[in-house]
Amino acid sequence: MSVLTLGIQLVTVFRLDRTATALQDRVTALFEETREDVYRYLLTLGLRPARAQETVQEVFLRLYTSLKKGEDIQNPRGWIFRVAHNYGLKVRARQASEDPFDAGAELLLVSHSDSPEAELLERERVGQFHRAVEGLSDQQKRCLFLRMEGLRYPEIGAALGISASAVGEFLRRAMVRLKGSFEEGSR
Amino acid sequence: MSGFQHPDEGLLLRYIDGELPGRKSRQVRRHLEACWQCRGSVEELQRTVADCVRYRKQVKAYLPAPPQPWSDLSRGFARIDASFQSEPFWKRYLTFPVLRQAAAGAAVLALLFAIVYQLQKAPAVQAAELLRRAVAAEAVRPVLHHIRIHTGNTSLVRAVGAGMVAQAALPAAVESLFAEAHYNDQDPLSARSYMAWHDSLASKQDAAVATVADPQEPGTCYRIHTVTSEGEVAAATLLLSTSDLHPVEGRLELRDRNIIEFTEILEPPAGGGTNTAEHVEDPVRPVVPSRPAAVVPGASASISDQLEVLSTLHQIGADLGDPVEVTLSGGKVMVGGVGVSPRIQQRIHEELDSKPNVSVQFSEPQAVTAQVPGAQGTAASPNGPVQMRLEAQLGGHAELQRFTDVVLKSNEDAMSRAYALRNMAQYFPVDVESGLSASDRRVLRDMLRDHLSHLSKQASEVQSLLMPSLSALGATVQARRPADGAAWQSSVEDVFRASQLVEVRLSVLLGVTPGQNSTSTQLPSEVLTALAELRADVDHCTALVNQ
Repeated sequence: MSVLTLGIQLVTVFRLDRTATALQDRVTALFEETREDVYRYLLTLGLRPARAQETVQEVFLRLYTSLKKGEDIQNPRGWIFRVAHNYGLKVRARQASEDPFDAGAELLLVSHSDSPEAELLERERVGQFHRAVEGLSDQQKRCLFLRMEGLRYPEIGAALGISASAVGEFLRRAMVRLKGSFEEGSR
Repeated sequence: MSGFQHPDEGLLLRYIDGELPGRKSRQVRRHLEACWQCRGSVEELQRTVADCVRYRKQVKAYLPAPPQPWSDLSRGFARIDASFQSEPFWKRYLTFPVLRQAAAGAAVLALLFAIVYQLQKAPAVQAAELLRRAVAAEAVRPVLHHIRIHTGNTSLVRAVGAGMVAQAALPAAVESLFAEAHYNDQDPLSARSYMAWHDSLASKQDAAVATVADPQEPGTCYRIHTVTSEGEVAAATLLLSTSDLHPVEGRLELRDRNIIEFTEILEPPAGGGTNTAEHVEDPVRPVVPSRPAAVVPGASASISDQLEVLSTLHQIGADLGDPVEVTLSGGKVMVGGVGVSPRIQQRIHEELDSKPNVSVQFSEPQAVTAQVPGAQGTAASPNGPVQMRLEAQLGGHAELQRFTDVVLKSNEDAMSRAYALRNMAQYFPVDVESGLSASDRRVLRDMLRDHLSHLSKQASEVQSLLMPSLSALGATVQARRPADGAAWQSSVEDVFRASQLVEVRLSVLLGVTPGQNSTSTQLPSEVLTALAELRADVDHCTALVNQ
């Protein structure tokens, strides 16, 4: 490693110290923009709401720490979901003593006695689709949810530790399984 | 194309997700154009994608909101800042792996030297930091400049920057290369474009920034070089002047071995603004003169207005490749189409929205949304004796593949001209043309001549590419049918059919499309004959247009 490179990194550290406020602003903006998506993604992983909310905050603080250390994060959204996914699984393992959060039951069982008929029907369809999603393998589900959050195949692959082509294959299988599920729900 | 094996759902999904390499994507797109069955499969996939989107939206609405209001992160920030502050100096900086390795006492001295060197002499040279600074510098230096874009045998000059409003479209082949690279083709030689591409990559490797001699002027440049295993670009390079960080030269190396280079031009070409072709690309179109309408002008649009719209589309290159439709309906010239690229849509809106009696409205395709304009040909598979012989003649599979790419690209350009010509014949049949004023007829014939001259050049290019190899295989031009047709409209139909025949035979010859006669030893001769017929038809049609 060249002396020049060492110098560059140290200069970067000095700069980062000076730009801590700018970093905080950047992370805060990302937090406000993305936190709801990350929170709901964590619910679908099975985290209970309170834990999911804590986890979201932790993910963004990790982002701040990494940026402060000078890590070059080119795609923050991809990074956030990757970390949220991996950290979320750890949290879920730790909450083993509690029942995991069941997003499907939530969709189906939340009281909707006051809901108009159209909404009930839509909820029924969503519930049906959710059951089809639940029938997917874990990897298929993870690929699907991360894809729904707008991540590209290589980013999903990086989050899950698999290749982009494997992501493509999992998504293909998921799509085949989900095909027509909304229509079935309306029958 | 219909002989192409049906792509499976995985391939189609990757296609609509924009995850296929350009060549493969083009192959699938062309198959979809021909195959209703696969288009149906894509529509089903799109429906499932739409269901997923709907599901996500509903899930977001129905799942419980966070139990607590979101607290701001400032406390967490303060905690992290404090932990950084509380760490001893050496420990804080040893979070950097490189610095950890350099903890030895002797290295510290070298390190201090480097710091002094960095702070006093060299600007920050880390690629990302340098790019950010260059982008900031660009923001306060919005000047018009000229660049040369060079790829393969195409080289053109383009004006970019502030004040450049009437920019012509890039030639389709160059545009598709940029699209393949996911790189901004409007202003490729800019730190902003490089950074946008750079930041879109999940995995990449930046080389240490080097200082190199400025290729054009006395002075030096920073050289940023990025290598990635993702997407169609394998490596990219940008040279930034060390004096003011303005980009001097850029280069994209695509995985299919295509290279796009863009260089700053210090002395802009006379006359300025729009694309200026240096070798094979479109010349700048002459401005269409204002002229009286063929039909009495009034509140409703006439065929003359339609011609004017077509001429405008021709000037911005929107009549090539993109499925833009121009019809005269309800007293208006209606401009529309399904699946027209957003960039072309925007250009058309810019040019035509202000015109009276013209309505511009595009539809989005329901099935194929992730159209990646194809640029290159398809990997040839030497599945017959002719292909095997051609491969041997060219010197191996890689050579055949490269040859296939070049030939099919040239042929694709020719086909886009053939389609444009056929559209003109359909818009202006003999009886409609006879109603045009003399000046309108001149405009129409200028457009026809332009298309024919390009088509002739492209056919000749394909012929000269093929001739050495096919002659070596014993191919000859066989007896040709004579070119006929008394009006240019009917002659254009011959040109179109001849272009299609060339395309089909070429695809079979190069192993891209299986064909009944793919094993025929006559195939090389048939290709050369089809090309000769096309050229004869183009010549005949040109003569009729010139009458």
